[in-house]
Amino acid sequence: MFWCCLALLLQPPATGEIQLDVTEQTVTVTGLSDADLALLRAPAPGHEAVRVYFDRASLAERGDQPTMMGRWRVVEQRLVFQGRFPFSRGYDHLLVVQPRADQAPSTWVFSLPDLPKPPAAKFVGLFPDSDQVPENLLRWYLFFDQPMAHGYAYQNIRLEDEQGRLMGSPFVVVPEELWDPARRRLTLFLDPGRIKRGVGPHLEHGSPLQAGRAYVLVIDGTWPDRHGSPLGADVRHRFRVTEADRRSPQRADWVLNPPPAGGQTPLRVVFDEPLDREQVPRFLDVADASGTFLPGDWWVQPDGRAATFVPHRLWRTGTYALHISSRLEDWAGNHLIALFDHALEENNVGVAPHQTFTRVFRVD
Amino acid sequence: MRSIPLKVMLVLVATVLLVADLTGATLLARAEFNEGTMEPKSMSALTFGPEGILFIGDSVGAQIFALDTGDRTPAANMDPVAQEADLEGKIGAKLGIPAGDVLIHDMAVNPISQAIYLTVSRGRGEWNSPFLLPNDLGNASILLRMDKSGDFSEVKLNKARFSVVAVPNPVAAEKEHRWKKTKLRVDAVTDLAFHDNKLYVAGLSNEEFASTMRVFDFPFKKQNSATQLEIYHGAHGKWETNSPVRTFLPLEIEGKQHMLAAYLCTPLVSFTMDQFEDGKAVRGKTLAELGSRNQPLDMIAYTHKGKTKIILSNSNRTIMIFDPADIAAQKEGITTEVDHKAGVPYKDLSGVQVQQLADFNEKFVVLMQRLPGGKLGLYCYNKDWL
Repeated sequence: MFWCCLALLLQPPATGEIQLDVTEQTVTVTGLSDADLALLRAPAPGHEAVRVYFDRASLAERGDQPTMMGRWRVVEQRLVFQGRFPFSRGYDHLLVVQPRADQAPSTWVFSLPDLPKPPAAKFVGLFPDSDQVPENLLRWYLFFDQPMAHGYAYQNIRLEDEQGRLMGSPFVVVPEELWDPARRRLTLFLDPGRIKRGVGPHLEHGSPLQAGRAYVLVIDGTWPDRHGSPLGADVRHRFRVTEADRRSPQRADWVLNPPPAGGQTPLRVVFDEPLDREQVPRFLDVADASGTFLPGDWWVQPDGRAATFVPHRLWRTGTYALHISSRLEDWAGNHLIALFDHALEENNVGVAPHQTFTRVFRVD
Repeated sequence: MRSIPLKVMLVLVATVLLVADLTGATLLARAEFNEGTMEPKSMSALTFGPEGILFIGDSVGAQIFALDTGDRTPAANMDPVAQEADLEGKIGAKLGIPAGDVLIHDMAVNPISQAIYLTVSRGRGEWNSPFLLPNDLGNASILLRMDKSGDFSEVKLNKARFSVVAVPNPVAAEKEHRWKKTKLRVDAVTDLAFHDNKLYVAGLSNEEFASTMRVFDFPFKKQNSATQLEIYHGAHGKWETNSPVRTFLPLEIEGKQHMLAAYLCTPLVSFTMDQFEDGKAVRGKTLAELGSRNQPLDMIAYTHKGKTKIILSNSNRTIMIFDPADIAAQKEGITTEVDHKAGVPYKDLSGVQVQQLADFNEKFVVLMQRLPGGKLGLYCYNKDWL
């Protein structure tokens, strides 16, 4: 009964069509009656005759929400609303025109289409990508060609055994996720508590990888990039596990191939075993006889067995030194002065502090 | 000529004297304000001075604005602000963006009108570390005023009445944080406090000891002082000069003016104000270590029913309530390595993830808190319960 009366009291709604101008960020209503336009030119005080609501879905959910900031005016026979800020793309905006408070409101929905998404990111490889890794492998790096979304890493990486059985908790879950600043390289640690012998997780669950067995590291195709587009198909990296690597890199066994003077031939360093490719440029430096570091670029062989250094300027005749930080690690996290997993009784509570070693070479 | 009754005259004289006494300096300041378009590059930090003057620290632009909000109608009552369970959703509706794209940078309450002022930016940027603060992610360009009923309006910066002063020698625009990899410039101004007609500004300078406390006379003059701050971070076991004060306030301890300052990961330090001198480097007294992996977010002090309290909100700890008597009793600062929690005792109050905190009126404080459902709430808390 009440609603019936209310409906009778209300004036018919305004009529008209709307147009969206993306450049001007305006929405324009045309076809309003002269009576409505007259009312809109002189709206009653306190009555919000033109209202724009952002996101019709959230309005329906909340029941009530403030109107968007903006200004409206009547220009000739048109009503023009201009938002204080650009309209957001991909959302339904609700425009309400109600020239008089006792008039039924007219509503229109408008939206700016989403911009097309750029092509989805691709998984471009991992390190080490060898089909053989030691039982005590400490980390993988996963590489993508475009920035990835944050917060989806661990649900999209899994380790399976040869029979396709899921391996439980092989990785350290770091809620912040270990991305490089560009978010194109993820560092994935195998659980060090399970790698280190003699500590609780190892005693209870054993190493995450077992020598002699084969596994598959699976990168799930649903992993979203920064724009929410999934990677596509799953990537399956199959590998076998060899005996644990319990030897530090031996820098005395590295082979240096000094370049000739006068050019930019690379200095080549061949390691005694594969090293952590991503660490090499951080922990190796080349200095001249005065001790000044040479600006230049390191390139590391994809398998981490050798690296080359190209200085930004030409090599001059003289004595140089390769500076090697003891922090540089092999695939198992063994650095130059200690193993990642060393037995306490053998020494090494309070391993020697990190230091920088040098290997002198001549350029002639 | 009719004579004015003595009683009325006394009242008139008293009123004139009172008005002159309270507002002389700031009326003078407001007389020097220019009218025009205020163009901050980032509204990084806010604090209210007298007479509705809002101080706005602009880290990127390396300047401080004093804005006459004209907001001088006293609040009608001591009621709390209308509780809001989804502040970002509400602001997003005003700005035409989803709640997740609303980033609130700072909050200040006008003590006269009890209106809440917020600086806001659209778009969250790349939030990928718990150590990033709003100013690391974007530059606040929108100033909003929220009245007690919860209605928002934008404070227009064109046709504004304001004055501005440069922050000399700010941390260089290209310098990066060592491990956050963010631009240090966003911390050129981290917090502000108006005290005794002076504006105190914490932040980073381009000096070797980057952490700096600047003191500006108000009305602004060209000259100001910059004191470099050094603190002992007990949990790290070393003296530090690079980490800026995150939040601070003036506090009288045993009759002497102090500055109480909180730092990342989370030393609480006091400086005596008479230490501050241009070009000098001073050491603070580390009163407490309040926990690792924590950002102190906001600190306020007020006196309620004769008792002064200091309230600190944190990113990763509860609200902490300090008694000035406990601070006064801490005669020796921490100068050797200690555990993550040491020093002055405090009372815990439930309330983690309180992003912003302000003294609201004589009965309430106002809190902005990330709620368990993920939404950002705004509500008042009765001082009787603190």
